[in-house]
Amino acid sequence: MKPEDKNQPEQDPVKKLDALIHAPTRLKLMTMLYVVESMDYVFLKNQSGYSWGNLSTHINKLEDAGYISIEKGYRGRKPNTTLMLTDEGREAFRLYKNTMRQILDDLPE
Amino acid sequence: MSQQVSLKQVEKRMYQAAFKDGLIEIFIGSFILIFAIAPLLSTRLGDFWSSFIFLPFWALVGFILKYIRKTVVVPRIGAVQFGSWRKKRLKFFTLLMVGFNLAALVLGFITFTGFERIAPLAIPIRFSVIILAGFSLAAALLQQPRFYLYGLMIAAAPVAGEYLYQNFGAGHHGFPISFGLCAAVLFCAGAALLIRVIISHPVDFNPLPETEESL
Repeated sequence: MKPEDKNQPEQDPVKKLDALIHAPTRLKLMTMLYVVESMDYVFLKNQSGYSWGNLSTHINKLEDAGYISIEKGYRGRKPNTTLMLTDEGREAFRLYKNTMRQILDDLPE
Repeated sequence: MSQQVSLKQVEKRMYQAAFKDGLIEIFIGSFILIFAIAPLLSTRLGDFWSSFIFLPFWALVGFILKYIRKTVVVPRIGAVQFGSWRKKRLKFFTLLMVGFNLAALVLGFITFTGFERIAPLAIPIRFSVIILAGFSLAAALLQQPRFYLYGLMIAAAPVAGEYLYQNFGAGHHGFPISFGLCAAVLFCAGAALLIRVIISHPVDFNPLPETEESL
């Protein structure tokens, strides 16, 4: 480490955590989307256990951040909405995971 | 590490949930049915035709199950696309199953041509081992533990049938009884799982006006 760095405070890893992902509901949604290629709203609702309203609010926030993409289409004659993580979202989640691991690994037993 | 394991658990849980609709049980049941019914039909239709008529039957069952999945299951439990490693594993599993089917075919050929003179119970035991190995691989590779149970049940059928034949004189080596029972159990299990999906997941179309507007 260079001498001048000694005077600078080390960057707090907690501050590096992405607050958008850190919220429990969004963390759960991001985790579920991270481990698959894509899923539709019905599957996400069933697996997460959240209500439509709750899902909608958080999905909109993640979509606004560019973390997920939403594709509206039809399955047969019925409307179907498919969700998937964007490359940006996947990278953000990876970074979140690594930061979280760093924070927890640094804690004493 | 614990996070890695946890992510795997999330994926595994979702994967298992996506295939708990009972359709696979009904399909396996319809497949097993050939061993129960073909021996009964063979006296009238001969060995070839009594088995051959099952091809259109399986195609029909496959078509009906696909239709049920599309119209009944997917609107209730939703649809998901899993990652590339799942697809690779499925391809590997399919290749293994082709190998198992070929082994069973060769064994069947040897048995029916009377090529080999062996103890009467040796043939059903060989079939049982192949069935058990196939289902165990399916359970492990597809992460569906209930397949171990199905494997044990179906693997017991040839030996149980032979036992019924030798000790109680059951016709056709007892296959109509033992495999018929297996098929019935699988149909019942599949129907129960399907009914559970229908009852516990009412069709709930996506009422997402906010998302609709945001697009």
